[in-house]
Amino acid sequence: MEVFTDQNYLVARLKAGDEEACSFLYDNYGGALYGLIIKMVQNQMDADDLLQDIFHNIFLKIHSFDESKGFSLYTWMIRIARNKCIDHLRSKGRTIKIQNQEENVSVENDSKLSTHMNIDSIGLREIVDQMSPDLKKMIDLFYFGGYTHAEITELTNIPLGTVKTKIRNAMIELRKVFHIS
Amino acid sequence: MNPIEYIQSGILELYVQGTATPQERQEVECMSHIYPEIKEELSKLEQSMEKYVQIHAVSPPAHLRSKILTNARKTILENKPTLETSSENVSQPETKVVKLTPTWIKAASAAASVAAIVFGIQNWNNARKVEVLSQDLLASNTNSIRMESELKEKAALLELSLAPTTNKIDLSTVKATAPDAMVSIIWDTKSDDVLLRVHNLPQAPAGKQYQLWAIVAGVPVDLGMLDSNATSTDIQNMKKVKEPQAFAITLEIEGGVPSPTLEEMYVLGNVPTKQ
Repeated sequence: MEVFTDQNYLVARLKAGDEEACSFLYDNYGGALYGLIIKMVQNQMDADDLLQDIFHNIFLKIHSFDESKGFSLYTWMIRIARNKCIDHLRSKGRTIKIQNQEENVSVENDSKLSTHMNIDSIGLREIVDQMSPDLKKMIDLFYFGGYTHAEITELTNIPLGTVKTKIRNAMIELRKVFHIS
Repeated sequence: MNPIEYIQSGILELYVQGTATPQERQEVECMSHIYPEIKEELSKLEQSMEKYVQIHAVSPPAHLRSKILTNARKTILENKPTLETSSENVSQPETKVVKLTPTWIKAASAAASVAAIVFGIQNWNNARKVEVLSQDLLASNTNSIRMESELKEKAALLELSLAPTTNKIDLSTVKATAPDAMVSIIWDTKSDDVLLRVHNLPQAPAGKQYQLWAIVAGVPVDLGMLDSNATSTDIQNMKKVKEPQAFAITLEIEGGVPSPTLEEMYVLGNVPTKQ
């Protein structure tokens, strides 16, 4: 199996419809996207359908990914996945209600599913879980809830300026955990 | 707004997360061209989100793999953009044709009045009247010469805007106080010509003037000052530019400045990248 270390090369091969590149994409990012979907929709059957839809969308839209802009393909895929999940939740009548969301963010993954995580991730996951619950909750609402600052304000009754600051602080905290400098 | 305030505004997080509006997305991409610190911040936000999602990864059920990969190649190849779709950004001809009509009518009516005058001379055969009318005829002629050159200019413009080498770029508002601000640019990749039409910009206050910028290799380049008296039907010829990534307009002191004042940016638009 070929390893694609260079993003531009991977994108070029994907755009050419190269099957090895497609497999590489699925094997490397499928788990991350599936984890995101599970977190967002909280239902494995829906998640299975969504993962198929999302990869179909990624392959469909790969030609519009502009590698010359220097943005990350992985982030682009996460965005596609997240937006698809938001659409799905809306079609199921997701409304911005604090009770539901509290439930959503506090529910942990099914333990059977979680055992598939790799060792590196477990260590980092523990550190992330030890972050201040206040900041962790903001990150989860933002990344796994797919909510905007304004929606979080509506959900939590925390003023918009405070939400922005909290999310910003949470991002800075995450950078320390992940050693991003 | 300076880059630090921009970073702290929260828009970059929304961009990376995916809920930014298309207009905000365009703005962020343009700002990241101008300011390396914004680009760097975006990259850090991307990495953080990617890692955060990564540590919550869950292996999908094994049977999904073949389902997903079976048609991947077909999906990709069937949706490859064709030449036709990639030349979408050639400007719409209708607007230009509509714009030409009044001039055609003017030219036609000028010709008609010239004919009427000539016809009149033959009929009335009055020396005095001929003298007066000759002056009219002269005036009409000057008028039609002026119109002819205007017409030539319009035709050249039409030709330029329809050429396959031109791009039409719509610059949309980035200024909350001017929600309807809108400017269009035609940029010719071959001749590097830049033509501009203001659809809507607030009247520049006394002592101020709008300045056009192109972002080239991430650096703003001055493309000249906008004519403060121009109307929304006037086309302004700006300085030429090679390989612009984006265009932006800022409100500056009359006569312009060497580098743009970010807080005074009114509109901006990215140049579409050819696939």
